[in-house]
Amino acid sequence: MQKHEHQINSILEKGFSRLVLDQNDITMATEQIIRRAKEVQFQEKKSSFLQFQKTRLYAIAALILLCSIPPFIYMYLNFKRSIIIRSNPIEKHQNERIKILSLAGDPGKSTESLMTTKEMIATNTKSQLLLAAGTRARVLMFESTSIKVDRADSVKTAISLNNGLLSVNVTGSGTDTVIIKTNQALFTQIGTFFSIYTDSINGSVLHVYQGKVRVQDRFGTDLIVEKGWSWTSKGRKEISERTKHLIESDINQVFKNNKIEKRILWSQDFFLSAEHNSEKNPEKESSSLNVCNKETMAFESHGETDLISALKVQIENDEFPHAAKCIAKLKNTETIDSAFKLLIRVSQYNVSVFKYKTALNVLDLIIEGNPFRMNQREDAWIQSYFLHKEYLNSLPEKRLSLVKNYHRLFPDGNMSDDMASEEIDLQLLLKNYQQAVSGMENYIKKYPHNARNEYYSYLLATIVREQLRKEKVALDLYKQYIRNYQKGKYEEDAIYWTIQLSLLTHDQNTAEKMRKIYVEKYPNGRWSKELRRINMTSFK
Amino acid sequence: MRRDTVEKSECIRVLEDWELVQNLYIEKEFCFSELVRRHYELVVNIGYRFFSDMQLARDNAQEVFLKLYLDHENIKQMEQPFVHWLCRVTSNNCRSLYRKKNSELKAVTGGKVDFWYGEGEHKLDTKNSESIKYVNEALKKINANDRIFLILSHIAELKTNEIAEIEKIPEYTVRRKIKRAEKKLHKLIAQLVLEDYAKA
Repeated sequence: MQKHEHQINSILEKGFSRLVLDQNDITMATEQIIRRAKEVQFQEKKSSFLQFQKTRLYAIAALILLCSIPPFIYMYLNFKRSIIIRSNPIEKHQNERIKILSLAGDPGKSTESLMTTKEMIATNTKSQLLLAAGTRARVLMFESTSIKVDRADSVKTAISLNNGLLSVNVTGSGTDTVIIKTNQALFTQIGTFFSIYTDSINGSVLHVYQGKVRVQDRFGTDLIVEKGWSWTSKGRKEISERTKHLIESDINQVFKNNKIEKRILWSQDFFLSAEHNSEKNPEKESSSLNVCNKETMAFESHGETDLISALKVQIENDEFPHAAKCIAKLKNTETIDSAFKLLIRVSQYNVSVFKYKTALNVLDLIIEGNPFRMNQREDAWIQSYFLHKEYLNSLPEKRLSLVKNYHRLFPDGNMSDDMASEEIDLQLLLKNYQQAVSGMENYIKKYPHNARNEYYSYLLATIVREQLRKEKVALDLYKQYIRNYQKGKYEEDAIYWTIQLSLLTHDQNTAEKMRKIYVEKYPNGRWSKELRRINMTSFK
Repeated sequence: MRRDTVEKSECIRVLEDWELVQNLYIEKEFCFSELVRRHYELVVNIGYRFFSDMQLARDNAQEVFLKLYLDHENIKQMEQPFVHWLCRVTSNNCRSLYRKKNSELKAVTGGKVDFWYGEGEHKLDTKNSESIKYVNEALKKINANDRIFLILSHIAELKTNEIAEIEKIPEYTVRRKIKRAEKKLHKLIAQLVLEDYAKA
């Protein structure tokens, strides 16, 4: 096998040698190219008149095309609007008092872009809206209420209430499944039935009709409000009369009377009709809803889509420790890959807006994240190192520690030789000559066929001579270099220093021998004068 | 040959590459011939390693120099060495020719064969012909994008930062790609050597 290895290396060395072409060949090729160029020029001149007509024709065609585009666009927009109107129940039932639709979030979509705008749903002064948000909650929006659905799927429903009155009826079991957020507080469902009112003047008011609701506000309040009790946010003025007429039985009646008949899949762009007919049981509804979106289904089977969307939110909010925990939970290879792509995109975006530290933090998530593959982590590491080197101008000490860290993390990495040479350069920069020398020795042993080997062999001898002042060792190293790299780049210098060091160590024979070699090989070399001077003083 | 012609060609030989390009306005044929004389071998070598086909390599070189002859007025980046410009045009031309060949092949085979391999053999008289054949055979199996980086690095003897400048991509990407391609090349050559050994 070693024999083959030697053969392969010699093939690689010789196999990239250039083919030498015959001078006649080149002359013929030149003539041919000039002839061909003249032909092309002649044809271009000849067709210039025809070309003029052609361009006129193109211009007319373009004009016709341009004229015909606006009607098409108008027709297309009209058509699209009609589709939206048809599928958007809010548009369709503009004047009805209570509109009924159900919402199911599309988490697959939200992972696609980093900057998403959540759709706002609002009622006007005359309308109310009954929504099935996700599969857990039925939400009654009273007049002049606006909400944003942050999340609505089979696991959790999260709604931001901007303004107005909202009544929530939770179906099924389980706590912590419905969260309502207002400017003042966060309401987490524990029981089943509650209503919240909020506006910019009066703050937030909560009434619990059944079960319990957990309230957390920005002043540090964290309490549980039980059935029949109310909670109001701090510093509020007298609330309006609206909540007073909301009697428990009335709201109950609304929910009982209005069964959800038409199911809608909610996306960021518009409302899409689901293909399947709805069923009365909301739990079953949820399962058939999921069938509509295969992508969502596939992800949800692993339960990792939510992790990706959570990861996205956490990165947006610079919560890197939480993001790291999120990444640690990823197991599916597809989601790991999509998380990797997401993180790389985020880091690139941050670099483009000069947020290098954030980009580094994001890359660190990949490097330290266990689920990522080795090559993904190495790629991220290299990007992070170049950020340090090119943009952050990190100190050599910092870079050295990073390079050492690379060897620890990726012992068999693709760039290990490059990083080893980087380490040597950094050691030299920091004037740690002893470490640099041992680094070079290791490099030469570890990568015997590397192109930089010759340079390091010479540099090693020079460092030993100049910095460590070990003349004998340096002499051996120069001799070794001359032996290994005949006709090498630095051979001339190596011979010269061999002569000098031989004289220093009183080895006149070697010095004389090497001088002869030098004169033979480099009669007009840059050390010739110097050697002649030495000749006068020493060799005589 | 007339005396003034000889003198002119001798004068031209002293000029730098970019000076020759600038003088294409005045002494088109002389300057152009000198440029071709200097760089034809490099361009043909790059093409030959990319296509493993001498005829295509020559066609490629012809197209590259034709571009220089016809479009020399539009060349703007004269801060870099002329060889860099030449390598950029050559690599782009190689890629487009390769794509063309691939699409032609797909049209003929109905999409059954995806990749086009060079078939035209070239008789090599050099002492390294055996090694060159091995390397060419292995290069064929490397992705066209990585292959061009490898060729620019080994045949044109460009540094990674120069290749990065030519291809307008980050330097570390070039280094990574070359590393990957070199590893693959090593493996492929090992396979070929072992196969030949087994046959023998």
